[in-house]
Amino acid sequence: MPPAIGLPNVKLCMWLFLVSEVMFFAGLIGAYIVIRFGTAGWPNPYDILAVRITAFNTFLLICSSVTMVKAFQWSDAGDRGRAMKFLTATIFGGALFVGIQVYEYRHLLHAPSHTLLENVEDMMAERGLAVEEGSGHATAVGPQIILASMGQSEEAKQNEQLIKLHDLLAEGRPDIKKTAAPSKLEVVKEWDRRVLEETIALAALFPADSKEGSALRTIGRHQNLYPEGFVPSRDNFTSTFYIMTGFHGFHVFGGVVALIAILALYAVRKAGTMAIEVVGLYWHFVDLVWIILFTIVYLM
Amino acid sequence: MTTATAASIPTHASGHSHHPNYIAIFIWLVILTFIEVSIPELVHIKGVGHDPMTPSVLAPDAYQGADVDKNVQQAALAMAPTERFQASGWAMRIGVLAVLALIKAAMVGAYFMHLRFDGWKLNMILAAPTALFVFIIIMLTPDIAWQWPQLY
Repeated sequence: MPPAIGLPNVKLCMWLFLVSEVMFFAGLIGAYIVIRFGTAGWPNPYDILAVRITAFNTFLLICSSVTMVKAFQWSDAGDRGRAMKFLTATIFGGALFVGIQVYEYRHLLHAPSHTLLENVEDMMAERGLAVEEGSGHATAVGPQIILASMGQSEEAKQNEQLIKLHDLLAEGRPDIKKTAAPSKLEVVKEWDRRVLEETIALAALFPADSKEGSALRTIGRHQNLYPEGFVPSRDNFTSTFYIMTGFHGFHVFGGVVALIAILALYAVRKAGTMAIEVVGLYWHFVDLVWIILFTIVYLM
Repeated sequence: MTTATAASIPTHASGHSHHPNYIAIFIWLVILTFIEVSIPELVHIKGVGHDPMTPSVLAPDAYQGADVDKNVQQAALAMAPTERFQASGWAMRIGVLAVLALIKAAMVGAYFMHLRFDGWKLNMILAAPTALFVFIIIMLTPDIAWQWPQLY
C-alpha cells in the first residue's frame, strides 16, 4: 500500500491513535479545569502533594524522552548497539517513573500520622524532647498514640490495639470514659483529632521557616484536610488527582511494556528504525501529556 | 531554539530528514521545568500569588510566624470578588504556569515528535483535535464563570 500524505502507513496509524488519545485527555483535563476552578476552597496542592519528588519524576520523563529520541537517532544512523543502549535507558527511566508514582500513591493513601511518626520521632530525639510515659506533655502523646495504632491494620491485633489506643487517649482526659469495648470509629476520630492537636503544638516549637516547622505545618494541614489519608473517595481533589495521574501512569506502564517488546524484537532484527520511531512517538506523547498534567494538578 | 545537529551522529541516514540538537532542547525543557517548579515554591515560602480562596486549614494563630495564611485570608475577605482574584497575583501565577507548560509541550511535539519536519499535511491532521481541545476548554469556561458569583 502506498504511503499516505508522504508518511509511512505505520507512522500515520500511530498518529491517528494519538489523535484519539488527545481527545481522551482533552475530556479529562477539561473536566478537571471545570471542577478545579469551579470549587471554592480547593486545597493548595503544595500542602498535600510531594511536589519536589514529582518534579524529579518530571525531569526523569524528560530525560527518558531524550534517550528515546537518541535511540531513534542512532538507529537511523545504523548504530544498533547504541540504539539499544538508549532504548534500555528509556525503559529504565519509564519504569523508575512508575515506581516513584507507586511510592507517591502509597504515602498519600496512608494516614498522614504515619508520616508524622517518621518525622516527629527523629526531631524529638534530636532536640532532646524524649517521650515520657503519661507525662501529658503535648509533644509526648502524639507519637505514643501513633505507635499504639501501628498494628491496627492487622486484623488479629486490631481489638487489642484499639483498647490500648483508647486507654492512651483517655489518660488525663476525664471526658473520655475508659471502656473494655471502645467503638473503633470513635477512637479513630479522637485519634485523628489528637494527632492534629499534637502536630499544631509541636509545630509551635519550631520557627515557620525551619525545616522542622515547615514539615510539621505541612503535615498538620494534610492531617486536618485528609485525616484518613489522601484517598480517592475523599473529595473532588483526590478523585480527579487519581483519575488523571492514574490514567497517565497506566499509559507510561503500557509504554514501558511496548518498549521492552520493541527492544527484544530489535535485538533479534525483527524490528527496525521505524518501530523505534513509532513507539517513540507514543512515548513523547506520554511525556507531553505529563507536562500539562504536572502543571495543572501539582502546580496550580 | 537551535536546530543544529549533533556533530558525531550522521543526520540523514536511512532517508530520515532531520535530527535537531536534542540535548539543547532537553536543556531548555529542564530550565523551563525549573522555573515552573520555582513559582509554587515562591508562593509557598513568600505567599505570593496564593489562591485567595484556598483555606487556611489550621488556625493561623496556632503557628508562630504563620502570617502568610492569616494575611492572605484577611485580605481575601476584605476585598471585592474581582479585586480578590486579581490582587492576589493568583491569575498571573496560573497564566505564567500555563504558558510555560504550553511552550514545553510545543517543544516536545515540534522537535522530539518531529512535527516541525514531517510536513504540513500531518500538522493539518493534528490541527483538528488540537482545535477541538481548545474548543472544549473554551466551551467549559461558562460552567466555571457561572459558579463564580457564589464562589468568589
